[in-house]
Amino acid sequence: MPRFLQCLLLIVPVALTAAGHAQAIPLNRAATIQVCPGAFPTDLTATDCRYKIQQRTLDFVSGSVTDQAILGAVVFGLGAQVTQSPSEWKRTWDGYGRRVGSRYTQAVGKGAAQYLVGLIVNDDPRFLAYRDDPRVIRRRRDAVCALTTRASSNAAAPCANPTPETLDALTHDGWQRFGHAWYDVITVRHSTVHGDGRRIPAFSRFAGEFGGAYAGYPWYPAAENSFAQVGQRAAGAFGTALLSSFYTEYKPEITNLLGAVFRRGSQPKSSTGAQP
Amino acid sequence: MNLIKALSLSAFLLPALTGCHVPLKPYRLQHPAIEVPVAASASAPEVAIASPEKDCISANTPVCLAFIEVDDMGELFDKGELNTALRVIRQANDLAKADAGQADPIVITFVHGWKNNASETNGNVEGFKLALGEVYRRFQRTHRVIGVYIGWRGDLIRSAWAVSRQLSYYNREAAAIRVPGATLSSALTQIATRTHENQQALAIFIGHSFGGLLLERSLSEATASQIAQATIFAQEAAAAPPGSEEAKEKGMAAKFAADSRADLVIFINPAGAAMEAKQMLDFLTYNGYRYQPAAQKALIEDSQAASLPDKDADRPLFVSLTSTSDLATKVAMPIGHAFPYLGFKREGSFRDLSQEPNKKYALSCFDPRKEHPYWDLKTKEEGAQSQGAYFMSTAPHMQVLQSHVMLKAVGANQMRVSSTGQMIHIEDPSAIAECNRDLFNKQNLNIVSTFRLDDTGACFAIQERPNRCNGTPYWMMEIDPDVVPDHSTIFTRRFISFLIDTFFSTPKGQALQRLNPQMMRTP
Repeated sequence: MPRFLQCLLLIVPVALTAAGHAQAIPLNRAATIQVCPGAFPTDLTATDCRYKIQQRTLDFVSGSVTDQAILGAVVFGLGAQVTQSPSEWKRTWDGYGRRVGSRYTQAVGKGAAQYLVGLIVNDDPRFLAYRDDPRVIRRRRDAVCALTTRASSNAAAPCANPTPETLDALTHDGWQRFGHAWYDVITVRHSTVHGDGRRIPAFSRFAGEFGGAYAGYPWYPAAENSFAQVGQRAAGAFGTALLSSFYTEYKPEITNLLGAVFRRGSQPKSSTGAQP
Repeated sequence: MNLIKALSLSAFLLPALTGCHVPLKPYRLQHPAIEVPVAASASAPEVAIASPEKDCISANTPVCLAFIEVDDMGELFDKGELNTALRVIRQANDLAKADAGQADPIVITFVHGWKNNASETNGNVEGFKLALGEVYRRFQRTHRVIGVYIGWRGDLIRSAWAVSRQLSYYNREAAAIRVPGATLSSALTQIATRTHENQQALAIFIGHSFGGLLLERSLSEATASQIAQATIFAQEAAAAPPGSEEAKEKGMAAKFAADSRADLVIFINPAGAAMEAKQMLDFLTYNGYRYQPAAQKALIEDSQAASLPDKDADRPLFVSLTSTSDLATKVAMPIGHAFPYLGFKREGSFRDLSQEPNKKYALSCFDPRKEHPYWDLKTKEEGAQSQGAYFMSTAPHMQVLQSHVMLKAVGANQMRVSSTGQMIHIEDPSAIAECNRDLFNKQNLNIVSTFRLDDTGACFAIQERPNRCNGTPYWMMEIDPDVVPDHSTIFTRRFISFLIDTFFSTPKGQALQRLNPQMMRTP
């Protein structure tokens, strides 16, 4: 068969499906929206959502045992050295060693507690942004579908939910994101293959925060080991987890904000000699 | 005593901070080409990765993946890997020639980035395999898809040592600059040339992160030479008496030059400084190149019907894409380049904007769609930048270099520019509802293509950047976080759909074919 005819045979079906240059809504995936915690919708590599023991162990080791934990202890220990906290430890090498040592022990204690409790309850503590939540994706698709049906006579698409209350689902704005960041830090999902495990309180995270705070016991002077002080240290650690959740949620905005600082090359303001 | 304690502490900490190295070794010498099992449907991709790897021997295998590995100095670990990759491509071409029912193959070469390599457990290897399967499915299983994975030592420190791994930035950037050379450049040329033994087969090169830098450095010199040669030979062939030996010879030389480069080169979240891209951009600008394969083919086949090239016919030869929320290239890269920048600055290596005869530095612009297609940006107010600025940013993050912008539907009548947040009111709501390029263009928006996200159905459009400086076939744009959310998440159905709808099909909705590789020059 001549090459021309082969090409034609290839082109015709594709051209027909793209008639009018319009893009049909892919509705046939209605039942298959799966987003793994910590992953991105339609990520081809995120097929098995389970938070496997290898990943859990790697996260524990890299976050609480190796250089990240050491660096954290060194830096935050230095901060404590400057503010002389706790006041019983002097600003000497001995005092600095205690500050670094106590922080490293707390990091290991926190990680170990979170690891063990997480392993027992089989949870998945990875964050998922509001916009990537399968329920939100479904709502957005319903909104798109309703919009199409409403605005176009060409589109008689069979929407799963043709009359959503609002088209706001097209955007990600609103308090939902703020609430979702909080919700994601106080709850976790059960680890399942499809990433749709039910929500449970974040026992492992809370255990980690308190485990870390109590791990400082052998280091700290007796005055620092009251329940109130331990609670304060745990709350500080919880703040880190909260920041992490908010970062996941607001990553596009944070990146844009930081990017503006480093941005080079503005849009040309004049098109000298190039008027159409 | 204090000194002893300090030294003891340092002795404990320093080895920890150096971390554990990933050894320098090839991973694929025993199995340089493997079959990629294709799942029955998009909803069951786990089938594809659960299968054990099999060697790609049969010409009938629909999707194959070959590996070419280079060491830290840019030398091949084993020439056999390259030979195997070339053998797989030839088999596919031979099958397409022999069997009329076989469509022409698509050869996709991928260069991975930082923190990756060619090991079996590597996420990029797994992702690339799944992406090849997805491309195969998207083209209705008609085209054989061959992947070539260029492996280099992108991963220096084991993942358990998170901080040390981050600190390997400078080391791996230096490797990505050092590795490109004659070895890799010639390997890429051989892949393109072998692919184009079948004139309709497509050769696509893709580089991610530092892989983008590596690919750009490997290709730039060779590709610029190939384009220049092809243009000169094509001009000489046209000037020679029709049907003469000289015309045939020159025509063949032009064809060979064009066949030895890729049909499309895609940089995804490239981590190289913009000055890497700027030289190629300047080359295309100074020569006023356009790439219009469909129009060129029509001109050749029917010179009577030839009219002015359709404005829609402009296609890219290079595409540089970056996510607006790519923290690595938007924030970390400028921070990483700050120290070298100060060094260059102190040594007086950068040229500042100037119009003095001996120090002239401006940005040359070219847009064939304008009445006066050539002009210069000379001042900061016009958008020009000093040379140092191109060292401190990646190319697609620089607004002045961007050729296109991505628009996202955020309401019945609203589109938002992903890179700037600017809102555009769409007069005809059915344009968004149908995601229809022609309806958008009734409002003179210069939309090049539209696409919908696979899962949410949200409508996106690619628009020529208004008042752009870069109208060359080197397209650059920032893309929405809904399509690529960060630096590393690129093997997604959303992103692949965007790539295929935007770059693998023509604006008229036809599947991309290798129609004519020659470029045109604007007088």
